[in-house]
Amino acid sequence: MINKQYRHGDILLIKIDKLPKDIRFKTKKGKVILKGEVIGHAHRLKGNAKILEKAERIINPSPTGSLPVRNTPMKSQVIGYAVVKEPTELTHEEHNTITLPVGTYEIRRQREYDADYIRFVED
Amino acid sequence: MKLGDKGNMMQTISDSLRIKLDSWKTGENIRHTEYGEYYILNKTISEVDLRSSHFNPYVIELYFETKERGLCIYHIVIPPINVVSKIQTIIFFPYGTTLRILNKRNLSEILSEDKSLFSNFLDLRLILGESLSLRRDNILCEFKALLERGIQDLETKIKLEMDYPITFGDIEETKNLELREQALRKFGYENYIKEGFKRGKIRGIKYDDDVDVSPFPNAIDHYTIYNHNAHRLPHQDIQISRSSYCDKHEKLIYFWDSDIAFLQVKDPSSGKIYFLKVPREVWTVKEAKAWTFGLNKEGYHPDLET
Repeated sequence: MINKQYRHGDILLIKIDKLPKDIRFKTKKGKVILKGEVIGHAHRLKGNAKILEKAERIINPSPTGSLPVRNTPMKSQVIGYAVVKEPTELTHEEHNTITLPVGTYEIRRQREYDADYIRFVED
Repeated sequence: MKLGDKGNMMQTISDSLRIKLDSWKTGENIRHTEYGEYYILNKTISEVDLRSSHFNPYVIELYFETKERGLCIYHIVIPPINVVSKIQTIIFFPYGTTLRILNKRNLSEILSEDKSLFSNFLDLRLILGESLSLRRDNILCEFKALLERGIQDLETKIKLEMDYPITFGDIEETKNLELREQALRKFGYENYIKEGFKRGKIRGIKYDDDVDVSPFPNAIDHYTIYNHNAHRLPHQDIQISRSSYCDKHEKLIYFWDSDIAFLQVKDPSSGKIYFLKVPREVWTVKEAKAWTFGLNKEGYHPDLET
């Protein structure tokens, strides 16, 4: 079975069956998944849902696997998880709203390549 | 006064200097940018004979002239090198205003520690991106060689700090990756790619096979070139035969001599086109998009994109 994926600008939410067991989590305050540092636009959940952040380093960030890149230090792109308890809107000032079905989601952040380092994308 | 301040930088020019500067206004020195045309009138390293005088500085002069700002001259001065002097790198305007002292250090102290001379020039190290163990008897020669190799990076750094227009050539020739990235961002990815087309710097373009380009006639040549070749030789370099550019669909753009490809993507909500840099090892748009989220192409299959 292929997991549902929802791309919302520079983040990607992948529905997963359950939270990984090898990570300790802490619940993030508020409903903002990611906020732009410059403009302040935010990916925000509106509904009965909570966002989990890793409480310690994620060793195996995803069951979907990562693409290795030559000479590139791989940063974890999983920035957290969302537990949606009822259909919840995912909003952003620049992107159309997505209604997330009930479930658990891995949240990934988009990145960009440079010869020496990886930089996260911000929209 | 900081280096980035934009005060009155106009230089009073004598008739003789004006004649000399005008003679330098050649096609080689002109820069065409979205800000208009300007000239880099001279880019030289003038060296005085330190063997005859310990007190003459080693000077790099850069002349910029724009219609809006007039002439600006930058002097990068390396004071005399001898065992009692301090090494200092000073950038100043013609008026003699000292803008920034980059570093000071006693030469004898540096040499006695047997460290790389250039690791002690904070900004020069950044710009030149390399270090060198200098021999005492050949210090000037090696210093000069390093500066000559780094002169474009110095120019780019000054342009960035002074908010001068960046040119395609600056980006191409700047060696320091950090500076190059700053210059690229200032120039704009899209401008860089469009200019790359004009100058024949594009190595190839990849569209995903299912892209329908028929509504966009300007893209058909590229599309045709790609598809004719790609199905037979999917990883062969593709030379673009014309300098048209289409910004309508998602594509991968490869430059010659670069480890980076540009992924041109379209925001599904706003329709805005933007560019992401991806490693050149990726070979399809889908693979590139998957890479930006740390996934392989099989793992990336968004059901909804906004």
